[in-house]
Amino acid sequence: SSTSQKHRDFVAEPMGDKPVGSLAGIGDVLGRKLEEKGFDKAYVVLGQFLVLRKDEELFREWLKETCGANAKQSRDCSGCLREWCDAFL
Amino acid sequence: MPEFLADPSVLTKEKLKSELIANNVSLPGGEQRKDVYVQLYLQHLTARNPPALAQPDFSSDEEREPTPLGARSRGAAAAGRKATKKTDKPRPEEKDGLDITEMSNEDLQEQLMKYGVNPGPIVATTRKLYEKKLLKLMEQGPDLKAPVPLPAISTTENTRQNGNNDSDQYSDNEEDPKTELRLEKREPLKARTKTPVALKQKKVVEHNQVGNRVPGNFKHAAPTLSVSELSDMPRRTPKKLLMTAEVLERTAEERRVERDILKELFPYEVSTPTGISASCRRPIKGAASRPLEHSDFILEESYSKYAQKYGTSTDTKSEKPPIKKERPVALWIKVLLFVIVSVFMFLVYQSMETNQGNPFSKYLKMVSPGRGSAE
Repeated sequence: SSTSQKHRDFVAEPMGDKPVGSLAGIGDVLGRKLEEKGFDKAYVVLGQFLVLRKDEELFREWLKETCGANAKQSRDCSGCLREWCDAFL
Repeated sequence: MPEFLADPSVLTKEKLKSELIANNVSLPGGEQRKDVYVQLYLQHLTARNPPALAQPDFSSDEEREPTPLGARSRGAAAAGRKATKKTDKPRPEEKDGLDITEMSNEDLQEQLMKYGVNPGPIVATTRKLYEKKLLKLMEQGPDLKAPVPLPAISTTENTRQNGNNDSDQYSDNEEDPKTELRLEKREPLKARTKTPVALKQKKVVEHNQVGNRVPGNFKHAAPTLSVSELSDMPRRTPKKLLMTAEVLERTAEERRVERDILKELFPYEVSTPTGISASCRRPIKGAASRPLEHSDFILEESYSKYAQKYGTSTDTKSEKPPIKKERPVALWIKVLLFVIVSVFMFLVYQSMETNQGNPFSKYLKMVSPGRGSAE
């Protein structure tokens, strides 16, 4: 499957304090919107993903509602988080 | 036209903006998302509509419902709007006697579970999502109340679902065995020989078997042990029995094939599952005040531990004369060679060294007063 470099970089190591913009699919615009809502670090978004029981579908909906991510962006983000969880959680 | 659309999202953003402006509604500064304009439109303009709202636009609301319902945190205003719009429609969300938005978290959870969905914690951030989900489920089949696949909206996106749909149907207890099984399957394939050895070692420990000169036993024990061990687990579910049986067959075959090839390659090797043959550890001579013998030093000078060597240096000295008789290539010859080599090296150094700081200058004056160039 084709994953972006951002995705690979994120999934390669524990996320630590990485900013939310380091998530795959989250660029400057979306990152800013998420930060406004209080999701300033990647781990906070991870928290939301986990609270939704790692349901990618629900997470994508949430992401769309929260910052207006389109289908591809939310797909990239959810896939990125899921893989990170598979590797480190 | 006095009548305004009840569903402004059919309009484009530009149209929405122009409609709003035309009706003296103040727009927020800068570029906003379409949804913002939709909300403004709804708030200001749709409210001005004449009360008789029998509009054909509603027919499209079945699909539209999720989006207006998924109100961004506009909160009560939007909820109120929803209520007024749907005066003519049957209200499925009130089927259960409660408005979904007014359901408590626990009730919402119950309702979702009736549909076979196992929701996560219903918290401030997740509540909206679960409300939406419940609505979708209710619309799909108010009488269904059975595990329903996720609605059409999701299927239009890529169908790469996580395992949630399936896991919804299993209780949490089974998730671990499932993963365990997968691991089990992988392990025999990747490290076929490890698991039998591990299993067998456990048994060995249990039965207090001392002495490792049992390579033959390994061969026989391994398949039987692995069978018994692996067959314990299928008792959980029949599925596992099938899988482990397959796995077992595969691994047994592979092991047999492997063994034949290995035998051809290494006919003299002891046949153990790992290829490692452990021999009984020989007691260290000279340690723990064990008596030393001549034979101990045969071919063992390089292997024996340094501690032993130094610890028993006194003994070795006494042993030297007898060793001399037995082994001509003894220590003194080595020492002699060492001395010769060191002298040679010294000579080389002396001839090569050209700088003034020759540490051996003192000695050089003694040895060769003629060679003054080096200093």
